[in-house]
Amino acid sequence: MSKILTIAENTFKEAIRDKVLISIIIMGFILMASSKIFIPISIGQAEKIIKDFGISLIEIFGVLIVVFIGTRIFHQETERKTIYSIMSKPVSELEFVAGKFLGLYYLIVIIQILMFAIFFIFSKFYLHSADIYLLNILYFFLFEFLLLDALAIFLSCFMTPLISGIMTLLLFFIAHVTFYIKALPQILNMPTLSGLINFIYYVLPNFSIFNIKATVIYHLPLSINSYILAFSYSLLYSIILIIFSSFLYSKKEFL
Amino acid sequence: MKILDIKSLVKIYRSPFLMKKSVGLDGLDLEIEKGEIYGLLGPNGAGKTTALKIITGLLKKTSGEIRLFGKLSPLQARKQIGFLPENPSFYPHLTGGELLSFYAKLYNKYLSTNEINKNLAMVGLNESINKRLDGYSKGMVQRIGFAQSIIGDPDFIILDEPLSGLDPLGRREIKDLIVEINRKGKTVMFSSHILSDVEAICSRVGIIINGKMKQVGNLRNILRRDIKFVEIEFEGINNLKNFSKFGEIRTESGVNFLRIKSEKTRDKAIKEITKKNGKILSVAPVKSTLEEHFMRAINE
Repeated sequence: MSKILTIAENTFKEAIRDKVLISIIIMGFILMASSKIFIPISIGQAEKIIKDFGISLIEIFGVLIVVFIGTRIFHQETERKTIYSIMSKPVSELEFVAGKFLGLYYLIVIIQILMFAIFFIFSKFYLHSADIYLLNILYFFLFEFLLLDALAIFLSCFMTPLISGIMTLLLFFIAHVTFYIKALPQILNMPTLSGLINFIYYVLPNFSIFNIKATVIYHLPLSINSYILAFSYSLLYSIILIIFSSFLYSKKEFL
Repeated sequence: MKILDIKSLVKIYRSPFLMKKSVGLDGLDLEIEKGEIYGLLGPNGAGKTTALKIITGLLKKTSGEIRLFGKLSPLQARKQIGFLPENPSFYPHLTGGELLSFYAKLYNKYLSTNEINKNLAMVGLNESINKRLDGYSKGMVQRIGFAQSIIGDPDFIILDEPLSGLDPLGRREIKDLIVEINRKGKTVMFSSHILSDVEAICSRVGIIINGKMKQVGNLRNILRRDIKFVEIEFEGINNLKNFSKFGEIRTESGVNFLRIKSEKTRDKAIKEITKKNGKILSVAPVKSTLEEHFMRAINE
């Protein structure tokens, strides 16, 4: 476990010292600050619009960071040849992959907390109140990004950064609407496809279980089951993806 | 005790799209005993780096057998191996101190600042403990690469071109370090293009050509077999007419040098010099250099 944490710490340090990441965070900060422009044009809906805008911004930046860093994570090691001095040491593929996954996740957690803090500061400043109930979204985001992190890591084990980036984004959007996929055989009136469609439905990660934004923004109650489901589903699916990733990574050769 | 025992190692590189194959290693045999400094020689593309990468687990063999420390699993064996890759590259965001601490942790070793300083000082980088690696020169990267290869106190250290990119002073320092760690009981294997360096510190060498071990052995024995000629240095004889039948003769500052190719002729020449009241100053065999031997092995 200590080697996983060592690799995670190094991955986190590398990302945090990356100028591109700092630029992304500054851009997020500026965009959040710019949400003030909605106040005069919101016709009494300023609070909802600022909340929607802020939360969506946090999610989009989270996705971008996972896709941008996660899909390059292994490629960079190989391209820079830093992998030679890691994989020739007593480090297993599982430890390496899990370390990279965890390092990126540290980063996401820190950035999410930071962006929520900035969002609350602007809410307090613009709306003269900060809605603590919105912290529920942070909980669901953290598990959503855990799964997205694992998905990006998994795809980048056997795809180029560009293709794995596109695929991660694509799967992220498709996986938000998997219930439509399940209904496809009925909609298309092709019952023969139901076996295949069901397989795709169950294999694809279901990101819709993390989508509780509207419920929270409108202060509707959340059941305890949705918290447990988000936690257990994300953790289990991520562990499976990381195990698969380490298996795929163990087949790699470093020329 | 054999640290490394390789038998009939084959590596074939396959290009999945072009359906092309290229042979990296073609039945390589290699043995390294505990406590040796083993030099791996070979022209570019001979398979030196491929062999080192298979030993360290970076590449997978196509067939053949590798035994490290008897028969250990690759992961267990890696605990006892230190590796410096060719043209090493390290995390540019880390400082020298952070880098060594990071690699030490991968061996489950937690170093104090003093220990890190000591390791950096050993390779002449104690001033650079807080300097980021993106500010290091090529020579400095090579030095820290050497330091990271021994940071886990491994028993077997594999160095791929450890002297490249270093100035003469740096090369001397790294050679001294290799000898020093070898004295502490570590086994060292390294590849190099700088044959004089190999000649200076290796106890045994192996020459790889086209993925096969062409020649292997104790450096002294290899070169002993390769006596080019015997040179007799003598003085006190001015008329050298009769000596040209023994071999090539030249005179420098009043001293004569006679190069003789066979032992029989050598004895005859010595008799002739004594007969003519000449004074023999030395009789010395002149061996091939490793470079000459290496070039001959390639051409054979």
